[in-house]
Amino acid sequence: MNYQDTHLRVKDLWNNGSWNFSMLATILPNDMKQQIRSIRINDIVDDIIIWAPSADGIYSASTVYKWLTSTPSTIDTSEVSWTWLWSLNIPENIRFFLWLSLHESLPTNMFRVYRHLSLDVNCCRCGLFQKDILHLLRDFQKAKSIWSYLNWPRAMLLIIITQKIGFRTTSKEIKAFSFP
Amino acid sequence: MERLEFILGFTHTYRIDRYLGFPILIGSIQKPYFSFIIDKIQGKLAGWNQKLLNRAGRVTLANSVISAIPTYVMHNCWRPEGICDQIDQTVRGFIWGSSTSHWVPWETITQSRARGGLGVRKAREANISLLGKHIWEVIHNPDKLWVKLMTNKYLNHNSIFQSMSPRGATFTWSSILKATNFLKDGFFIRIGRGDVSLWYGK
Repeated sequence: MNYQDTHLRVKDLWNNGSWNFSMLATILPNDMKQQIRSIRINDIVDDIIIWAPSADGIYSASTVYKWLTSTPSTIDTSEVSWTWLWSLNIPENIRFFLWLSLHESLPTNMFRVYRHLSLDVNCCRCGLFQKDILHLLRDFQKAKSIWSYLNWPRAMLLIIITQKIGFRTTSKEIKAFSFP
Repeated sequence: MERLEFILGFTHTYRIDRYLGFPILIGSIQKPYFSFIIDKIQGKLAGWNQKLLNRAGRVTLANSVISAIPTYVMHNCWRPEGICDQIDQTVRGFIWGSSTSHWVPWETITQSRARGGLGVRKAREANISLLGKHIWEVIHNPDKLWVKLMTNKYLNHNSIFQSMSPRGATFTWSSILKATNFLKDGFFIRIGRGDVSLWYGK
């Protein structure tokens, strides 16, 4: 900042409906100018301090909590909203079970081997396949017969869930691949 | 003393204990002052509850306990780090059980439900977000009595965002300032008339 500009106020740069940067002794980067141009001065409104992370600018403990817990790794725009899961009309403990499976956090053999709790990744019932969540819920012979026994709207749930699980695994694998 | 008691109708005590369930703070504030929160939480999340409930139920109970019990205290006090950790540990242990490993990371659980978590609140962050309400009051309700008192005593017409914690300030004020350090970057000025300085914000 140039010392000649220290006394300036925001409205001093505002000239009949547009920004006038020529009177500044300080040189601003172009992208900053661009950002400033999107702001308009309004004579009837006071300058106020707002809480930016909330939509209406008003402080609320819940938006603050959200803001505080968004570490860069959790701000992932590709991440789909999970509200569909919590609005399913099923008992809470089943929802919790689905939540666990969507996080791939059921103690399947894959999960246990990963955590050094077991040495065998194979399914302990059929012994043929790796026992991961999709095997447990979808591919296992018994699971298949249960699903085929159920009527259409319930079986639809299976399709949604396995798709979501599949989506999450692939997106994770892609991430692992591109950021070794 | 007895005459005073007679005139005023009060009785005297040597133990200053609690007022409205909140211990009266004297001198420097240390961890033991807050251990009553831990006791309360551990009391509610006792072992027999854990055995009777499934995990979904445990999450619900834990959520209601941690959002209800420490809220009043969190409003006014910067809780010591150790207390926050202990609260979080108690909750984690309650949800997963002491013998099993924790299947889903704590960072995930503490996200909101829409973001794939369980909406469990981390003690430290919840504490900051509640303390932040006072920052908001200081900025937007300068006519409130407590705001007048605190700002005249500690701020000297400075902005709360540039203020340093004065030595010997009351615990509530230094708590608010600690929260300010964390929340500074979330407060912006929305330009209206444009009377604020071009360079120095907030």
